[in-house]
Amino acid sequence: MSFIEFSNVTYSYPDTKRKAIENIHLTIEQGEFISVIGHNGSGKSTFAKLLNGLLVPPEGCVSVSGISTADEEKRLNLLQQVGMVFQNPDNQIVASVVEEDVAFGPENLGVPPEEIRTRVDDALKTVGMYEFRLKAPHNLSGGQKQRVAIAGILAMQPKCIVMDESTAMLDPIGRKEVMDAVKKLNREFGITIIYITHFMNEAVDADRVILLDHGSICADGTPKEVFADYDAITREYGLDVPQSYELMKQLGVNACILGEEECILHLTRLLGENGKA
Amino acid sequence: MALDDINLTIRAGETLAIIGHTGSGKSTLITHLNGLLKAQSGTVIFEGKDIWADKKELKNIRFKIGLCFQYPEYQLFEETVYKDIAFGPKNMGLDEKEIDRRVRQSLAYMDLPESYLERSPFDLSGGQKRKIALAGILAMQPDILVLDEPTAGLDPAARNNLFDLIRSYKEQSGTTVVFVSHSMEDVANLADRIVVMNKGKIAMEGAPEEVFQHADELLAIGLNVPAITKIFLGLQKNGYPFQTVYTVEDAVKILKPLIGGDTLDA
Repeated sequence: MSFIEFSNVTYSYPDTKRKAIENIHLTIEQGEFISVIGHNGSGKSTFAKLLNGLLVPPEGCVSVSGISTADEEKRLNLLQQVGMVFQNPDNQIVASVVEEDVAFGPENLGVPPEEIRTRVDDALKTVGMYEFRLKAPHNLSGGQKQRVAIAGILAMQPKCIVMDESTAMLDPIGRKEVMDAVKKLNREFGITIIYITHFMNEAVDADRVILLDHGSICADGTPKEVFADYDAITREYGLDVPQSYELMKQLGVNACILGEEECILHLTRLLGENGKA
Repeated sequence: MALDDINLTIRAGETLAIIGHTGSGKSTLITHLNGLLKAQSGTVIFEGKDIWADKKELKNIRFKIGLCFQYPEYQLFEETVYKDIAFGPKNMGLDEKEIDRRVRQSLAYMDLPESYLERSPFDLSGGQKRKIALAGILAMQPDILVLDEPTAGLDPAARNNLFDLIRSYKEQSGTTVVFVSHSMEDVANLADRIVVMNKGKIAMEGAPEEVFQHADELLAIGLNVPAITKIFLGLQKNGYPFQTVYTVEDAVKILKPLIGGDTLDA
């Protein structure tokens, strides 16, 4: 049994004929770091909401740790296992003090007060927001607010965190802060990360990339496998590629190079002594 | 202080990018351009006149300096796309015929078919809604178009499409464009000049090739340089005396003759 399993899942929103998700079959193991890409309307957010039972498929089945998301009695358990961070940092903060916001989840789970204290402190330290614990959330930057949201999930001791375009509204440093925080959770705590994004340079940082189009999985593999077909990515699926890959393509170099460091190394090898003073 | 001792000249016809981390004063700066905010000290001069000199005139200045906020699609409110785009020109007191002409022209600038005019803006996709909101500003035919993060939250295709439309609108109309962005790649591709904000002050100002030379300083104030610029800075470190580039196009011009069509596999 895999950690998360989708078997033949199809989902349409009420009053629409179009299928937002169509016949998805997929397994995710505990500890994976997966990015999900696809143009607007490709089904990414629907996919995210199916992961923790916010949406339950009428056809097919989604299960987490062997429990079906359709099992109403286990709903709370499911929400505790799979946490979600949304796009707008201002829409998901409920309390007027940072630490109270982080305590909201465990309080609702009925965690004893003394344990809540430890969990909140640990969670805030993990995302680097402990020194802000007594601050008002509205005074924080976007990246800081998103890290508070992540801490709030962390305090529920989840197995998986779903980031639904959580960096779309952030500046470059805010994006990096959030990415660093989730990488740490994945590496040090083995938390499964499902990272939905429109930024291809973020997507290629994951171990595995899932490409959605019209509600179906069109590619699923390592970043290099998924991005290998340049024409499909840029034309068919309406996405783009990191600049290092774009450069290789325009130079006529047949290499799927997705990161800047790798690009510098590769170019240095290709250039050799050419171009040196 | 949200803004501190800003001295800035915006030249007619240029495309100016304003960059800076969250809270650096970018949005405060652009809301001063058309008098939505009034500075406690200093003046904002538009076409030789202090915008606050005559309060009655200020209304007209707001038509001339079209401000498009972040996520403008949240400000759509009318029943039809037509009415929403017509809202601005109507407030300008234009006659029906001129309003109709401007609504259709603005929609065309955004490359949307006229069949959209009778649709509800709320039935459209996010990217389309944003185009409608922008068309509403273009319909006022502003002399300066000010855009606060015009492509935030859009997917890559929608982002490229919107930038292409802004670029072609600018070419056709000659409008001055001022835009705020967090994407250094977008800034590099669109801007003639960049203003870097930090802690309410202008930290740097210049053409992209000048500003992106200062990668370390930009990183220190929470910004970045385009990925292609990072690659070139790395090549410089490895002993290649290339100039610093900021677009893939310029990078190809330099590298192509040196690599000579080799198709080595990685």
